Amino acid sequence: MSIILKNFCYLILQITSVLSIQFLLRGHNYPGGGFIGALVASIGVIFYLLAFKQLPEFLIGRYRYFIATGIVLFILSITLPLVIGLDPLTGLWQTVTIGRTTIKLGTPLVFDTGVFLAVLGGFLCIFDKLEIEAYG
Amino acid sequence: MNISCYLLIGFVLSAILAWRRSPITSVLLYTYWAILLLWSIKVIAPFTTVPIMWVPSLDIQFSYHLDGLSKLFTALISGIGIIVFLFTKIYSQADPAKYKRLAALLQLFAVSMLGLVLADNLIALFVFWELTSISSYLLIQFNTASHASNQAAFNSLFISVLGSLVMLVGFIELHSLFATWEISQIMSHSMTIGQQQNLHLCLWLILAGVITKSAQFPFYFWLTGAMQAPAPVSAYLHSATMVNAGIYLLARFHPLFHSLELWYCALTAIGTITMVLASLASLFQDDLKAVLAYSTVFALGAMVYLLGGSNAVTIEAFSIFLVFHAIYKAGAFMLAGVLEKRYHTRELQQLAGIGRRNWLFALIAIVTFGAMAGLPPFFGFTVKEMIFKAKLSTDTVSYVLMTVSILSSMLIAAASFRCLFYFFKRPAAEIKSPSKLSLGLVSPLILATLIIIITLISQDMGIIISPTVKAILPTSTASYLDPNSSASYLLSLMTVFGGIVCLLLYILLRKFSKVKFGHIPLDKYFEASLTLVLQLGRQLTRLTQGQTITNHLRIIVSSIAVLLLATIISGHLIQVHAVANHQATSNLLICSLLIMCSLSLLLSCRFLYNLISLSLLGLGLSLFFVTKGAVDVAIAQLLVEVLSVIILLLVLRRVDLKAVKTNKSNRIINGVIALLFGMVVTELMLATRSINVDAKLQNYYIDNSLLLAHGRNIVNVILVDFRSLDTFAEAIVIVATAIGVSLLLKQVLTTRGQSHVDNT
Repeated sequence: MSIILKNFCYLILQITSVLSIQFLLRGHNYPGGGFIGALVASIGVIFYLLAFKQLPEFLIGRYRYFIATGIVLFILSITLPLVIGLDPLTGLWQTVTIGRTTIKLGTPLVFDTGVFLAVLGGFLCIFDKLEIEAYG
Repeated sequence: MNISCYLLIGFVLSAILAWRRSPITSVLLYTYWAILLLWSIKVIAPFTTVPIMWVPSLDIQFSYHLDGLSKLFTALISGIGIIVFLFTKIYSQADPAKYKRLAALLQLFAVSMLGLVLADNLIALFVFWELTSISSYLLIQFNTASHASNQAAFNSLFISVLGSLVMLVGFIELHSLFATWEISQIMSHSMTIGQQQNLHLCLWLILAGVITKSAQFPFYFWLTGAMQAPAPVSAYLHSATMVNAGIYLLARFHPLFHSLELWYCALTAIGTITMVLASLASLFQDDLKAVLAYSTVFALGAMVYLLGGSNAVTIEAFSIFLVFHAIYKAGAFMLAGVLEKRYHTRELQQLAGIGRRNWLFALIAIVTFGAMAGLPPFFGFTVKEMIFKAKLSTDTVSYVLMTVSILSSMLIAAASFRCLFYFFKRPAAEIKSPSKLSLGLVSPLILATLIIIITLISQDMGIIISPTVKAILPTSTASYLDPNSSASYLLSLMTVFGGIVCLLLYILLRKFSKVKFGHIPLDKYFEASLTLVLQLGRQLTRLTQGQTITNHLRIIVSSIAVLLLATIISGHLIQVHAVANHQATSNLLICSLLIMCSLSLLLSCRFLYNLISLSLLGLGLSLFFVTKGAVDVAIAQLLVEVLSVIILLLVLRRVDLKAVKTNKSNRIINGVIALLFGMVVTELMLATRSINVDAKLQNYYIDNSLLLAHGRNIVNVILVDFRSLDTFAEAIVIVATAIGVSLLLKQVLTTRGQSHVDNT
């Protein structure tokens, strides 16, 4: 595999990583969201996989952390409203003002991050085995 | 309330027994059952407890009703239970670890049986009924290493669960008739003519449960198979529990059904057939436990037969026979267990002469088997007399039935004489035996003593069973009748002598042939029919899902298409209105792209080209979504398309893709199926559009997305807020699928790696 392609794919991984988080965060108001973000990120990873024939070092075997964190976030967003005494999965919102910008933070965002991590973890789980396959 | 607690304590005790064995647990166990025994004897007036709600919306609750009938069964379960527990302890002295499990399971079994006979709510009764099935399954396959016991346990579970499911339908039918689940209320209900009609159906359905559980023809093979269980289990299973569950249910419903003609006919027919076949088979068995098992089947047949009648004498005979049978059968099975433990065999021939070496054993054997045969000094004789009297007392005495039942009684007498004959026969060769029979004889000794006591107080048995008779026949006024009437006395005597004659005939027959009469290999038929069903299923699977994924998909897609087409043609679908489309130009472009892609997909025979056109198709679709304003869907579609192509290529990179070609006829078939499917789905979509969907939900989302959920992207708001539970489940599904795929890949890789190693 040529060096140009390798570098290009590395670049793609970096770009998609940032993009995917952007997609995740803006999802509530503009097209995007956790699922799409996860897809974007996994496309970056798979391009890397194509070029380097293996996952990035820090991702090998780490899919379980992604899945586990995702599920923990799900559980959080389910149980947080319960603690306050509302029905499970009720959206809780808090407006945070930093300087001039006001941001609305809420449990749906936690939930969406959970989706993001779980789906990404699922794809990484497959890629983890594909990489060995690619080596044959 | 108290009864529920007591049952719960019983289950907890079972868990404790499984956990550890200590003197304290034993004391607890015996106290538990002793209290129950005393309680069941002490309580006189029938009562119903305050229910504990389980499913209030369906009126399902744990309520208990105690009357003479359940009292008798409670006494039997606890009384025989204590003796069996005692026997279990001695029986498995050598292997305490095994005792732990056996005792725990027996306790579970006994408590479920107790719940069954006490429950007033039909659903609660059903739950306990199933619990007895499950625990008896565990007990029968106690020797998990043995194939025979596994098979027997499976048969027993399968048969009784099958029957109980049918019975559940019967219960539901009863509920729909009387609008209550409580048995006591059903009994006190007055019936209209229409309900009488429907009762027949209930009876049929409930009978299915009864004949499977109580081992009636043609399902008795599970009980004879169940002799694979250890002796204490057999002793308990055959005498006071499990098989008696069906009998209990019959007696319980006797007041409701006995006025039906069907009740009498069905019970008499089933009981008689079972009696005859079982008694014949019993004589021809060489295995001591098998002889006893068949005699149990005979006794159950006799009880069913008796319950068919509805006069006081018959019911009295039934109640006494129930008690007496439980006692002598438990004793006989314990004797068999002791012999098996000592001599490691159950074959009668090899046990010859056992009775000559141990006077205690001889005594117990004579009492128990004498009771089984109905020998004159024992109460068994009186019981036989009562049974015959009961049969004679019906309004229309059927002489055929009478003869048949006397004959089968003779055969059973012959079978028990045969056992005794072998016990006291001069042994052909000296048996190498351990010095003496163990403590195991204690439990059968208690039972034998009980038999003798009952014989001594036979005049007072009437008092003991009169509450039971009252419970089954509320109208009966007759008290215990002195059985000494000449006709039945003569018949009983005849049975004893007939038994001896039968035994002689049998010995004569055995000299000439080895034929075994009465043994119908029902279990083989059952297993064969199960195998047939399995094979049919396998064939069907092979036909529809066999060989290749292509075939599988073809069948799925074409069957959907054909079914939908049939629906469309038959006119069940809503008429399609023409839908005007205003974005003609942009749509035209995309549509032509899509059509081109699908054509190239159909026409090209290279796999790689197919893949490319497929992904182009996906891209075209996402364009289509963009023009419709569904940007989120379009993005997701696009990304999924990219990902799937790359994954496919990665997986397939080592396959020589140029070599993968589809032949022409296959492509034509695929094309036709695809075209058909496409047409049908298009029609379906158009039909869906022409339905006026209630826009309430849609508007709710649009109105409240920003207001309640603080989001402008409605799709995302729906996903993560309004319907986040769905999304949660979907994410879990994705994760599970991914883990499954990775496991599959891992397996493929390891097997390939191994074959690679093999090659090198």
